[in-house]
Formats: sequence, structure tokens, C-alpha cells
Amino acid sequence: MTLHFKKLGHHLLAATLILSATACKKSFFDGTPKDRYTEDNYFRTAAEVQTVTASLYGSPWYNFNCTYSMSIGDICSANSTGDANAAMIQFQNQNITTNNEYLYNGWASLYAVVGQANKIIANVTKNSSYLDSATIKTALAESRFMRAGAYFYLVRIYGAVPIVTEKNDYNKTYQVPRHIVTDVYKFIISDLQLAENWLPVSATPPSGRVARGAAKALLAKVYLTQHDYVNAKAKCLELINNEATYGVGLLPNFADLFFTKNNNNKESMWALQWLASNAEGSYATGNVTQAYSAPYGEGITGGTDGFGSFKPSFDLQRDSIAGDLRTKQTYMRVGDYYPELKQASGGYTYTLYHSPTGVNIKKYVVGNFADNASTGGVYAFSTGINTYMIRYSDVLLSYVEAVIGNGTSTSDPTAIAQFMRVRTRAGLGGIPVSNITTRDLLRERRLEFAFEGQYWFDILRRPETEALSILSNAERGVGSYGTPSPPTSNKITFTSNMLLFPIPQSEIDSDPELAKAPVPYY
Amino acid sequence: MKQFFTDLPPQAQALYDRTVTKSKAMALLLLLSIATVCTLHAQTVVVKGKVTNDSGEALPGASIIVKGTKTGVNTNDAGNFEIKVSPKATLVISSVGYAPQDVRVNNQTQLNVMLSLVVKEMEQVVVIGYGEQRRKDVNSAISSVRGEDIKNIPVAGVDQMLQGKVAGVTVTQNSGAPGGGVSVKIRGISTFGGTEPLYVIDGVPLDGNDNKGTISAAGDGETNMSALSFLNPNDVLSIDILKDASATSIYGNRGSNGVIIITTKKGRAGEGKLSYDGWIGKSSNPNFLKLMDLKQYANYKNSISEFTGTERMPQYANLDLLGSGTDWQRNIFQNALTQNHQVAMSGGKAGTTYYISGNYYNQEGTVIGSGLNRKTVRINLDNQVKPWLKLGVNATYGNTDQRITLTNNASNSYTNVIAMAIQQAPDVPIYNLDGTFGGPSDVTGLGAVSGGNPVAQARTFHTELVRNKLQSNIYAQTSYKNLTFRTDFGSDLTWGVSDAFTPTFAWGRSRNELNTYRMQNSKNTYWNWRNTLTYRKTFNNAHDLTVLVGQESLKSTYTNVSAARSKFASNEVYSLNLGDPSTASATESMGQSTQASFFGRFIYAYKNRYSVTANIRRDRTSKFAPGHQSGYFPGVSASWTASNESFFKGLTKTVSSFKVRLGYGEIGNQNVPNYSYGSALNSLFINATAFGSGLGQYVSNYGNPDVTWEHQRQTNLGIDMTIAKHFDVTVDLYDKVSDKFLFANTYPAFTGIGVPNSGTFSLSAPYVNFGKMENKGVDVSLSYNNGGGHKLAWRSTLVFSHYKNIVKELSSATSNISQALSVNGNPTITRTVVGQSVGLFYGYQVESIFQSLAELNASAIKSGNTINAKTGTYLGDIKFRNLNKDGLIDAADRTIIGDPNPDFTYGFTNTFSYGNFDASLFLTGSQGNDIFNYTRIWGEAMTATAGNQMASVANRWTPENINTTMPRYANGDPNDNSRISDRFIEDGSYMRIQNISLGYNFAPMVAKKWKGISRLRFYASVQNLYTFTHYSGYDPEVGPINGNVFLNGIDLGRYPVPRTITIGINAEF
Repeated sequence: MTLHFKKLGHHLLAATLILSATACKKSFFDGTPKDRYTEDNYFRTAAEVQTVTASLYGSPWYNFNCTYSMSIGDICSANSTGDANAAMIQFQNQNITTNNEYLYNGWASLYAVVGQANKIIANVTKNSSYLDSATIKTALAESRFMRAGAYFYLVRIYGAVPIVTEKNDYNKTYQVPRHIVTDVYKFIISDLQLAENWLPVSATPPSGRVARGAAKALLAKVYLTQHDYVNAKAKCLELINNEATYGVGLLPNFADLFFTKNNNNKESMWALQWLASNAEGSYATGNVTQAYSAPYGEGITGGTDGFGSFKPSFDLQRDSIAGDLRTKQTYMRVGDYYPELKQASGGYTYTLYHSPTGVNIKKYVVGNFADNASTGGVYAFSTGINTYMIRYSDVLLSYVEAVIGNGTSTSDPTAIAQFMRVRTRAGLGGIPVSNITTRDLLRERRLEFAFEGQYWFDILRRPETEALSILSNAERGVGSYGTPSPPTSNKITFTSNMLLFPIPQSEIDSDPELAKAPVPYY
Repeated sequence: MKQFFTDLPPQAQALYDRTVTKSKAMALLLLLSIATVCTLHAQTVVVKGKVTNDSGEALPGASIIVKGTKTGVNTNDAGNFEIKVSPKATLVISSVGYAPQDVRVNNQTQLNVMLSLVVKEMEQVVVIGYGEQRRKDVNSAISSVRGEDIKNIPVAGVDQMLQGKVAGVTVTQNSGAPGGGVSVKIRGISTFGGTEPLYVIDGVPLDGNDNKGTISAAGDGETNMSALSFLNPNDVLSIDILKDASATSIYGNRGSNGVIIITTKKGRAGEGKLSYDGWIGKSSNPNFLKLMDLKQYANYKNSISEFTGTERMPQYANLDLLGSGTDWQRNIFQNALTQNHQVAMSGGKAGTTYYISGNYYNQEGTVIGSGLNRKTVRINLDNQVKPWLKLGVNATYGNTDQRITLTNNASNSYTNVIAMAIQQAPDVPIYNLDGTFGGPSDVTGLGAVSGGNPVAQARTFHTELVRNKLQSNIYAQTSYKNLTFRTDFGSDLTWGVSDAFTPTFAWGRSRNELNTYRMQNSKNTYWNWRNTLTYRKTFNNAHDLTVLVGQESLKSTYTNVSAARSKFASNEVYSLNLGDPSTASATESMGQSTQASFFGRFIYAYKNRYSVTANIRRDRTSKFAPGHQSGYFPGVSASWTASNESFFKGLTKTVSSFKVRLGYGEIGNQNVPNYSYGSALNSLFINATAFGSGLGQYVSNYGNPDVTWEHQRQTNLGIDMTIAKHFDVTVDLYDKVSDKFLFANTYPAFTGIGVPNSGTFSLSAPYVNFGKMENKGVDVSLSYNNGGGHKLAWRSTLVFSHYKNIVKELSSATSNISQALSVNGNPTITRTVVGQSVGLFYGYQVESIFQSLAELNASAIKSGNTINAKTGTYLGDIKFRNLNKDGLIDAADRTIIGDPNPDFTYGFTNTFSYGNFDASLFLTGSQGNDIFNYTRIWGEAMTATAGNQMASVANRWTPENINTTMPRYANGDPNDNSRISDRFIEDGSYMRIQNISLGYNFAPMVAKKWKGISRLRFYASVQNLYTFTHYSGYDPEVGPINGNVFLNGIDLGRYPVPRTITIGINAEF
């Protein structure tokens, strides 16, 4: 018995020792994941870096694109009414609380862009010895372009905001102050100037990536917003005079802009890139706009979405111009027929007043799965049409704005020529224009970019008294469903404090520094 | 038989020897007595009988003595006895560990006697991790629950059954869904991270925090599942709960939330036994929210139409013509059937014992479409192969199939059936006239803006989680003199399939033309190998010494493959094969973690008076970066049994035992996802036409290279005593100080780090080590038993737990932790600050309702608001308290408005048996905790223009109805009346009649007919009979949202816990 035991004991002991030895091997304790790349083993080749920069074009912007951009850009400016839920109604009533859901989601989305861009900048810089200079330059330029784009929205929506960069270490502290507005702009311009120098001159279609033209166009808008008309005009002219070089131009037909198949056309200088999908792991890859825009109950999207929450306002409809080809592509009126929607049943005709303003949004409404089968289909809350951030027509109208500058109108022939290019495409080329007033330009921008989240910022570039007057006089009321009816008038008196939005309360709760006066960054 | 006992500890062996000697002596005595009796009394009867315990198991070796004499017999191995006595004699029947019983013969010839176990805790053996110990030698705070005490309870998981049974253990059922999440907290909240304990089932560890299983289609809300739903409660022999650090430190880095050791049944040598336990139960939803019916809804809609700027609905012109409409709530709940059947066989001979069982459990949920089906088999074998070698295996296979109705979604999204049922308007029909599902009508304005048909959704959407689990432990043990070497190989293999199908439908205007099927196949493998060497010796009959050294290594791996397709031709049959291949997608994730440990323990006891235990463990884990991987966790404890001292003798009549325990230990917590120390990238689907490739990458988390153990020190002072022989009292006082909390901190979103589950695409937060918290508490267990010698056996146990946690430190980077809720704009809802408890409700205080313009003009109103009926603050709005007196209501006016921590919790268990009757009554409760009733924000906010609200909004403020606390209706809620305020905080105290049961054992009645039967008990019980509470929501039992300690006591409309009436049978042959 003792003998047996000894033998067995030896075996067990030996086995134990082997196991212990195995267990003590360093590799046994290696926690590196096998199904994912890590910052330590990625960002080593051009192809690797490009997969990361590609993610800057869509998902981080998801909540910006989902209701936030239009709630600010179109509801506050009275292009649209909105009633999806309490959060949207607050925009409609201009009574936006610090707990507003959209306000938080949009803020977080814009800073998610900043956060991802910062991560790329840090990693590419860290791994510069592995990478060729073209890869480094392009990646840094794309990241800085996106970061600047996000800050440009942030500074216009919230005013002074914290500037965070790749240098912030949140394991040490996240108690960051707000920075003064002028420094935020300075930061944006420095990022964009680097992007302008390092981005490729032109994109190879159908690339969804930004090229040098986009940086110039965004710079022009930043200058315009700062009333730096000289620089704004110069940037626009660089593009207008070199369309072929930068690979940009107007699409001949306005309607073509809003087909998924025409994503990344030459007019699309910077667009958020979406992919329709409902696969596991596909959260935030698609464009969610039609879910809130398509008229409710018409079965246009093929899914449970299509809430008709945004409804084109009477104010917008009153600004329309007879014969404008853009109107039908912007919103649906009774009798409008869209062969591209509900193709299986021979197209869709808007027959009834499905909104208390009589019309519903068409822009970015692309239909159901079958209507889009050739471009990857459509799923609930997810379409594949890109969101335009800057179209080339914006550059043309920005040029006009820069030429007018601090004046009230222009008859500059180059400016009028650019203005007419936009109008001609809209089918309004027959109306002669000899002089463009600021009001003409604002109206033109409104009709060209309605429901693209622009009009609020267009109004805000006007002198404050004028902006307040435009906003205070806008008709925000609605009528009834089902029958044509005039609005129950609703106008909201704007004061200057209503031109900026509050920073979400939960942010200040985590970082009380945000409640203090902003400080210089530089 | 003797051989079988050779591996017993010396104490037990001594007991065995004594018993054997005793029975030999007894037999001699018996012979003598029989002779005597025969000569003295001619008038005798032969009484035959069987002695069993209260679960019907035969008791061999029980003694039957004629009262007043020394005459008696013992039962044989099958528990049978035969004795010749006077027909008027009284027999005293006793057995070690059981309450003796007096039985009058009274001319009977057949006597079946059932003895009740006396909870003589001192005699019990307690499992302490890598070994066991007699209760009387235990120095730490360890509570034990017998499998008997949790039998026949109509719930799926053992974790739920512990509710109210053990002092210091708080169990909340987060969801009444079959197999739904259960939160078990041992001694309060001592971490900012996961709070669930470690379970050890027959030596195989199972992390209680590891309780997710469904794919994301189940929503981003309360998705935790019960970690123990795979385990058949009938197989449980005992549960030992290691509460203080001196006990749990042997589990080192995983012991900081306490350890629950579950031991399953084993066979016993002797005649084989066959038992059947079955019950059938009917469950219903005990409580409904008061929502508006159609008439009230129409009236509400009419009165708000001028505010929304819409015309009155013509349908609502004449309220008298309207019926009550659809009661969505009552239509998504059903009466549900549950049944449980178990067959077990056990026995043993010639060195082999076995326990084999099979279980079938099928529970329908009280929300339509949900349910749980479980099948398990278990084989426990122990084999004395050679006198010096013992081998054994404990193995269980379990198959659970959960059908999930999407309910516990944190957002009030329309995929959440309960939220939808609360909000869908009563003017929407469930069914159309042709029998198809109805939905919001084509007439604009009817129905909620975007909701569908919750009944249809519950019936036709399909979400299911099937798990197959094979858990086993194989051991070999050999002894040489006082040395025992044991090696254990434990494994846990889990295969899970989670799938979700969304059909096409057209319910009124709510339509879906694209069906989608997703499935996830997951495979988890786990093994651990433990080797222990134990030296045990008693010197000079006075010094007991046990020394243990051991080593353990483990590895856990997982692989998940998910795939999806859309565009199925049919809604009836779905398999990936049948979807449109152009919509196909697949992803995979995998990972692993490893750990290796060494540990040692030293136990010394002197003459049953003094006892000292010391242990230490070293762990190394792959969870942290090299350089931060190893940690040491020591524990030490001692006890003094004063009642065994000679000076105590005079007191033993009143205090028969008295013991003082003192323990201290240090433990860790490593509960973080793998590779938290680095930043990893996640894959992202991108448009291939735009980028040339369909797959992008983004950095998915913010790594913290310095992340390491959470640390906890705990001191425990305990007293065990028995007073007047009937009262057992255990009191434990503890002081836990934990620091360097390991948790994902909340960051402001501008860092690019997002709030979890908010749907915001951003980096996930780094795991950090910071903070310090102290938990002080007391656990009291008071039990009474009326002792032997009574026809009525009565046992009552009251457990009482109180804790108070105080945050002592936060990081230098922050003065508070503000936790936002990922619904409706991420409002901050709790705040944790130094000097207070964790996760206190934080918001505004309601002062009154504005009743006059004079009052409005003189008061502080919401910052930025004007006095305006449509877009500002006006009469009927809530006047919030202006705490800082700055003339504005803004964020600075928020304060602590409630505390989700209870003053105390309690459980009161009572069991009675009288002859063949038995009864029990079990109460449980919580006192002094606040609940934030978030369902009322949905139901009373009046922010939506469409959809139903609670009936209470009928009492809202109007110029005609000013004596109310319900504010006015105002489109868009411009005064933010529904902000986070004490308006929605309610007292969550409750006392629940958790279980009441009555049983009768028919075995003595039918024993003549059916010879083999030893037990035939029928019983009826009611689970969750009634809850005494002032809480207005479904159920005051509200735990943390997904285990988040900062989101405790927030009611997001969970799946309510059902009331279940059962009848059952326990039979044994």
C-alpha cells in the first residue's frame, strides 16, 4: 500500500509540478485579445491606418445626424416644426433644458469625433517610424479636418467649449475648463490649414474621403462665420477657378443629389458616409434621417420607422419660389409623385395632408429595401444615403456672401454668375438677377439647403439684431391634419441669449470647471 | 462500511467508533431487557415501525427506548425497528442531531415516526473552501442553508431562494421574468464595480457577475440573467455563505463580494432510495398600474387639444358613447403555469455511493411570450477504489431554454413591451374584426405616435436563449497517516445559442416589411486544476491541528459567433439558410483569461475552547498588465468558546453555549473585462464603395495601463450563543474598508468617453482604481426551536441585516461621481460624494404648485424661462425649491433627495410540524429605502402629445382643480415639471408574505398497502402572497440596473415578480 501510494504520489506530484511550471510561463498570463487589434499592434501600415481613418466619416457622427443637426439647423430656424417627443418639442418651443436628450446626444457625438480623431493623431504620431510620410500626412490631415469640423459645430452651437486634444490624459484628469471662443476658432483654423496642406489635392471618385477642396471650403465657411470676408472670398475663388484640379463641380440635376447611387459625386465635398445595415454589430452605421422625416403611416420606409416628426413649416413654404425644381425634392405636396419610392406598387403619390403643415419632408427619404436593393437596401433606422456636410453649391453661395461682406447687396458680375449657376440648376435661370441682397442670398440658401441643418447658422451669420428679427418673425404655428388649413399663428420672440445652447447638465456635474468662465487656450 | 469511513476526519471517525461501540452495547442491553420484560409482563405487543427524518429519509441507528426504562432497540440500516412493549407504553425515539419524540403505543402495532432535525449548529460541518470544518471550530462569519430549507420554492434559481434566509445577504429579483436577473449582495455595497458574489459549485467557481447571455436584440436595459438558473435546486445539499474576509481570503482576488459555496447531494451507504418531487403552480401578476381607460383618455385628449394646437378628435366628441377601450396592461399579462418534476436515486454499498437525479422544470412567464424550460441530470459518484485511494465525480448537465419577451429595456423604447403597454393609447384595438392584429389606425391622431401593438409584438417577435451547460468536478484523494493529498479537476463548458427573429407585420399603421433573423452561438470553456495537501492531527486529545497547502490554476475562454440575415420569404420558419444572402453578415469575438494561485491555511484548536485560523493566498492573473498581475491576500481569525471553560459551568443552564469570534482579512477584486489595461480596436462596418473595404476600425476603449486589484480589508466580530436551550443567537459586527475600487468611471462626454448604453458612439471608459468606502453593519440571526418531546415541532428563524456605507475618498480628479441614466437625455439621477452613502438620489425638491400670478412674480422660476402659459412657467407648474436663494431655479438647486439603501432588511422563517402535518410561513422585507419610480416620469410627465398616461393625471392642476400635487398639462413641459425631483421618490419599504405552505405526509396511512413507501407528502403553497407597501409601482423589490451600484433602486418598469400558487408532492421509496 505504501508503495502504491508512493508511486501514485510521485505521479501526481510530477503532474502538479508540470502544471505549475506551465502556469508560471509568461505567455499563460498574456491578456492581449485575439479577436481585436490593439493600439500596440496596429497602426503599423498604410492599410491599417486607413481602416481607422475611414471610421471618422460615419459612426461617430451618428447622433449628430440623428435629429440633433436638424433640430438645431432646421427647427430653431423655423424651416421645420418638430414633435417626435419632449426633446424635440423643446426645440420647437425654444425652451431647451440642460437635460435635453438631443442636446446631450449631439454634444457627445461631436466630441466622439474629436475623441476618435485624437486617438488617431496620437497613434499615427507614435508609430511614425513604421509609416511612410504620405500615410502620416493624409491620416493626420483627415483627423484634423474632422476634429475641426466637430469643433466648428460645437463653437457655433455652445460658444465657449473645452478644447481637448490628443495630449489630454484622462487617466490623470478630466477636469477641463471651457476655452474662449476666439481660441476655439484659432484652433479650428490651425487644424484646417494643416489639412489643406496635407490632404490629397483631389479625391479619386467614388472615394468617400475628403480632399483638399473640402478643407478649403470648410475654411471659407469658418472665415465667413468670423466675418473675415477677404480670406473667405480667397478660399472660395481658389476652388471656383480650379474646379477640375480639385475635382469639384455642380451636379447638373438637383434631384440627382438625393439618390443613394449618387453618393460621393463631384458636388459632394464632405459627406458623412453611411451603410444601410441591421447586422449584429452594425449599430450607428446607417443614416437615420428618413426615420424622422418620412410621412407617418405611409409605409414608405418598409419598416416601423417613418414618423414624420419633422414637418416643413409654413414659414419655409411661404419663402418658396414658383417653378423651383428643388421644392418637390425638398418636401412632398399633395399630388407630388415619386417614382423612386414604393417602386413595387408603381411609385408613391402624396395624396393627403399627412402633416398639420400640409406637407412632409422628401429630402433624404429614399424608400424601402427593394427601392434601394442595388445600393445595399434599407433597414429600419438605417439607409445608405450620405449626409452632405458641404456641397459645392455652398461654396458658390459662400462666395457671394463673402463678396457682399459687410454690405447689404452686390452686383459683382462674378458673384451674380455663381448665384445664377445655383438658380439655373433649380430651374429659375429665366428670372434675371442684377443685384443680390443679403435677404436674397439668405432665402436662396434656405431653399437650396433646407433640411441639411444649415439655415440656423446662415441666420446667425447676419448681424445679431437682424438675426433676432428674422427668428422672432418666423411663423412656427401649425394647422390641422387631413385638410388644407392656415396655421394657428405661433411666433417666438428671440433674445440674444437664445442664440447659444446650454451645455448638458450631466457634463457640468462630472466636470464643474465647465460652469466657470472660459479661459484662453493659447 | 468501516472502510468507507476511513477518509473521514478524525472527529467524525471517533463519532463513528463511538456509535458502533454504543450499538453493540445497546444490543446486549436489548437482549437483557427483552428477557426481563418477557418475564415480568405477559401483556405485550410487537410494535414495528420506521424512523425517518423530516424529508422522509430513513434514519438508521435511531434509538427506541421505553420511557422510564433503559429498555430499547435501534433501527436497522433501512430505518426499521421492531420492539415488544406494553400497549400502554410510551416510546422515546431519538437520533443524534434530531429532536427526540415521545410516542404513545396506544395499542398500535405499526408506528412510523418522523424526527425533525435540530439545528444544533455546533454539530454541523461547514464547507470553508478547499476543506470543511466543524461549525464549533469556525472562527469566521459563515452562514449555512440546508437544501431542505429551499426545497419546493417555485422559482427557477437557487440565488432567488436565498432571499431572506441569511443575515447579511440581500437578494433582489431584478426581473420577474423566468430565469431573469437576480442581484445578490453580501453585506451591503463594498465596491463601485460588480457586486455579485463568487459561487463555488462542488469546487468549480462561477462568477456571479458573469450573467449576460442574450444578444443585443434583447435591448440595452436589464439584460442580466440569473447566474444559477441552470442549477437544479433539488440537487443542493447545502449552501455555505462565506461573509467575512477572514473566510473569503482563501479565495483571494475573487472573494471581495463574498463567496457562496454550493454542495450537491451525495449518496449514503445503505439501501437505495428512490424519490420523486413534483409540483405544479399557477402564476399571476399581483399588481397593475392605474392607467387611463378610453373615456378618461378621450377626456384628457380633448382638454389638451387647445394646448397642442390641434383640433379635438371628432371620435371623442361624446364621451358617453365610449367604452373602456383596450386595457393593454391586462392583455400582456397572463396566468401562467409552472411545473417541476424531479426523480432522484441514491444509495451505496461496498465503498461506492451514488446520487443520480433528473429534473424537468417548465415555467411560463406572466408576460405573454416569455418562459423558461430547464432539463438537468446529475451524477455524483464517490468510490473507495483502494483503502488508500478515493475517486469521485460530480457532474451535471443542464439545458435551459429561455423565451424572452422584451420587457426590461432601460429606455422607454417601443421595443419594450411593458413600456409600450403603459403608453399605447386605449383607442387602439388588439385585434381587428377579421381576427388579425390591430394597430394604430389610419385616422391620424389615434394611437401613440410611433407605438405598435405590444400584444402582437410579444406574440410574434421571437427572442430565445438556449444554454447547454456541462459542469463537472473529478477528484482523486489519497491518504497516508495524517496526510491527505487531493487533486481536483473542474470544468465548466457552456454552449449557448441566442436568437432573435423580427417578423414582417402590418398592425394598423405600424408596419414592417423586412424580417430579420439574428443568432449568436457562444462557447465558453473553463477549467481549473486544484491540488491540496492536508495534514491533520490531534495531539494529546487536546491540540487539533490542520495544515493545508495548495495550488490552483484556471483558464477561461469564450468564443461568440453571431450572424444575421434579412428578407425571409416566410415568418414561420427561420434559419440563416432561408434569408436573402445579400443581407448576410457574421461577426466573431473571443477572449481568454487565466489565473494561477498558491495558498496555505493553518487551523489550530485547543480543547474545543480556543481556535485560530490563518491563511494566505497569492494570485496572479492575466487581467492586468505585467507588473500589476500578482497580489497577496491574508486572513486570520480566532475564537474562544467560553462555555467550554470550567468557570462557565454554573451558567450553562441559561446559556448553554457561548462563543466569541474575531477575524480579519484582506481580499481583492479583479472583476474587469479582459485587456482593460490596453486600448483595443473594434471593427466597424463601412461602405465599401466609399472606402474600398467594408471594414473599418476604431479605438473602442480608453486603456489604463496601471489598472490593478481592488482592495478590501474586513474585520468581523461575532458571537454565537444558545440561550435557554431553545434560542440560538448569532450576532456579527463587521467593518469593511474597501479602496482602489475597480470600476469604469463616469466621464464627461467631451472626453470622447461615453455613458454606457446611451447609444452614443464613443470610447468606453477606462477601468480605474480609486475611492475608498467603509461599510459597517450588523447581521443578526435569532432562531427558536421548541426542542424535542413535543408533538408540535416548531422552528422559527429571524434574520436581520443592517449596513451603512460611507464613501471616504474619491479621486483627486473629482469631488463626486454623478451617474446619469441612459434614458430621456441622460439626466443625472444619483450622486456619490465623500461622507455619504453610495448612489444617493440627486435632484430638485418640489415646494408646491404655483397658484397665483402674485406668487409666480415673487418666486424663483426656471432659469431662462419667462412667465408664459405656453412657452414658460405658469400657474399649475411646479414650484421647485430655490435652495441657494439666487432667484433662479437651476442646476445649483439640486440636492440629495433620497437614499436607496435600506435601514434594515429582514427575513422571518417559521416551520411547524404536528404529527403528519407540516406548515411554514416565510416573511421578508426591507425598511427605510427610497425608490425612484421612473415609470411615473413616463406615466405622469404629460410631455407626449399622444399615447396613454396614468389615471392620476386626471387630477392634474387646472384653474378649476387647484388642490392637487399633479402639475398642469403644458405641451413640451416648458417648466420641466418632470425633471428629476423628489416628486417621483417613494418609500420603498415593504413586508412580503413570501411563502406560506401546508403539507401532510400520508406515508403512515398507506404504508400497509405500499410496503416500500417511506414518505408521501402532499402540500400546497403560495409564493409572493401579499406585499404590504406604500409603493405605487409594480413591485417595491427593485435592485440595481444591470448591477450598477450607482443606479440602485430605480424602477424602470421591470417585469413584476409573479404570485404563484402551487400544489406538490414529495414521495420516497
